[in-house]
Amino acid sequence: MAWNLNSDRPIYAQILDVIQLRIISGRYRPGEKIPSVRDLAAEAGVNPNTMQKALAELERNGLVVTQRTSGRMVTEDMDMIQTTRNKLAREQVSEFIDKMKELGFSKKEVVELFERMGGEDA
Amino acid sequence: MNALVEVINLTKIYEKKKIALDHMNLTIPRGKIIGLLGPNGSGKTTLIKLMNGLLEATEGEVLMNGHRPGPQTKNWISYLPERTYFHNNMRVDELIRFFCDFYQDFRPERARQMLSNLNISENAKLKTLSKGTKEKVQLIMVMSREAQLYVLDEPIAGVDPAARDYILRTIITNYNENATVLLSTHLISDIEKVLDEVIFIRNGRVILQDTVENIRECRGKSVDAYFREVFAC
Amino acid sequence: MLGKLLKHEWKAVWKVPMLLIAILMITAVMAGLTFALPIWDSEWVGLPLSGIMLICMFYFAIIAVTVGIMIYFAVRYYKNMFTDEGYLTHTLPVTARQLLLNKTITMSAWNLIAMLAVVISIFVFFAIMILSLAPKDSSFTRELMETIRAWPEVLKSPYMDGFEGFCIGGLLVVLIGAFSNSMMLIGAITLGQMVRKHRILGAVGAYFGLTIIVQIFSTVIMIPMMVKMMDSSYYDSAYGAQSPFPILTSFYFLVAGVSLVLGIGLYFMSEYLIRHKLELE
Repeated sequence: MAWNLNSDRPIYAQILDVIQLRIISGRYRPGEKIPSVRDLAAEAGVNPNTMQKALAELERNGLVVTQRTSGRMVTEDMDMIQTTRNKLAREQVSEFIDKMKELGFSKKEVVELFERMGGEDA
Repeated sequence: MNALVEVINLTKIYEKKKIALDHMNLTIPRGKIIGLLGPNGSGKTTLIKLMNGLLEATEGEVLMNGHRPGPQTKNWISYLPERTYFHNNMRVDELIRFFCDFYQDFRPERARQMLSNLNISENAKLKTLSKGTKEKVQLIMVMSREAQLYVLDEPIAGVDPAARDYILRTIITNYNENATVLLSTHLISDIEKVLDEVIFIRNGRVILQDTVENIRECRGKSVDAYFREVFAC
Repeated sequence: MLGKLLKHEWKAVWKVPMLLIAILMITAVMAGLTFALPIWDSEWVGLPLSGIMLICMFYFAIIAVTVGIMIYFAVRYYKNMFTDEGYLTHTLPVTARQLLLNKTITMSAWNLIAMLAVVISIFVFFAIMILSLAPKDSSFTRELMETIRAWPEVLKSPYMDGFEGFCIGGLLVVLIGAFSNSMMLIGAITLGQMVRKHRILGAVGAYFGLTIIVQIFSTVIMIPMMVKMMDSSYYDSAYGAQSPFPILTSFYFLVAGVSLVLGIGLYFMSEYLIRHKLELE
């Protein structure tokens, strides 16, 4: 969850991911105030305008709400957070399956492998 | 509102017919952090010196808020040269008083805060400081002004990575939304996250001006990678 | 802004010239005190030579201090304006005129202070010398007092006609000289910048060039004066009862006028070059 902004993707998209992850994982709790753009930008070592853009995007999709008096806060809508969480999980899984396909595994084999490993862990 | 800086047909030919700037045209907007990128000898420093009135143009002009370089523009341009330029015999606190006297937008409390963050004594004479510390003092003085335009010539060349982070953080936290920061460098990977826009210059001409996000989105690669491609030898 | 420049300039420069002046004063006192040494009472044949050497050394100290101060200011001007320090100087929100006036005023003022210091040191030297010698020869003091008492009478003689004008002319030469000497250095250093690759060499060359031009020019201007001085009637008058001062006074005014024109010309040349031809490395 550190600011690992090293990929070639647009920086604001990478920032977006990090903040989303922080919200889902509970590092920023529902209803909690988010640090200011300037502080976040300094922390991440990015341009404040880019940070602003990322936060605006989060506002647009509802994870972050702006209150006139107290600035930006994480939404208190737990469903919204849960939905985002599920969406990201699905993305991770499909990315994982794509990679496994490249290794020549069928979907069924992947599930089997998964269950076997899950059993070992337990 | 008009652009903050307009470079119009700007040409600088040094002695022995060395062409540093070749009919350059460029517009620099307000409220952005902009990287002036190019290999050594591409004309970055010449452009910056012309903006600060340290050189005379051979042809064309550079206008800032519609004015040529002069006492008014120097009131609101804060410039960090690529060399150590303070008088060696001065103490740090004397330097603060000097800046207070001449620059109305200088904020001494900001400078003192940053100096104490870096454990630099105000009683220290500049000549007793190491080169790296001197460079930090210079950056602190320049960033402690509330200027409209900060022009930083190679601010991160030759400093260690920790200092580089501090410098970039200083730039991010001290600049305000209406100010533009123009910084020249050839070390792009370290700073591209901080930039809104980049200007590529080569042989005294602008060959590209675009936002960092646009380059990443359209080319699918970082500005650093793109720069290496453009300037590949 | 000029006031602020002058304030900071003054704060930055006073130490070195003051130290040099202090050295000069100490030299003057020590040179004067040597006359109190018992060797002056001896019959040693080397005495007159030692006296001359002592005065010579004092003379060299005077030269060293005045030249030293001017070199200090010349180097400071060069560094402030045309080296790395110029990056700060020329990015201050001040005009080229304010920058140059600051340097000119400070340098001229210190030039004057240095001359004043020289006069005082000579006075100190002779005062101490007299005080040192007085106890050894009582008639010496008495003769000295008589000379001083006779001075008003001397002034009244026709030979001293126009002495006041002569003094004013001399003062004018000194005052304007402080300015024009400063401008010779400032002008030469600024002109030397036009030789971009060899700026110091350019400055030294420009200084000698300017000096030679000034010499030739003043010689040409002086010719009529010389002719007049050679004129037999003047020659007679100098050894007659007539006062030599009026002609010396007009000579002084001529020198002062030429220096003033030269200084102002060099000032505007320098200002033009700084405003339009600045090129920091």
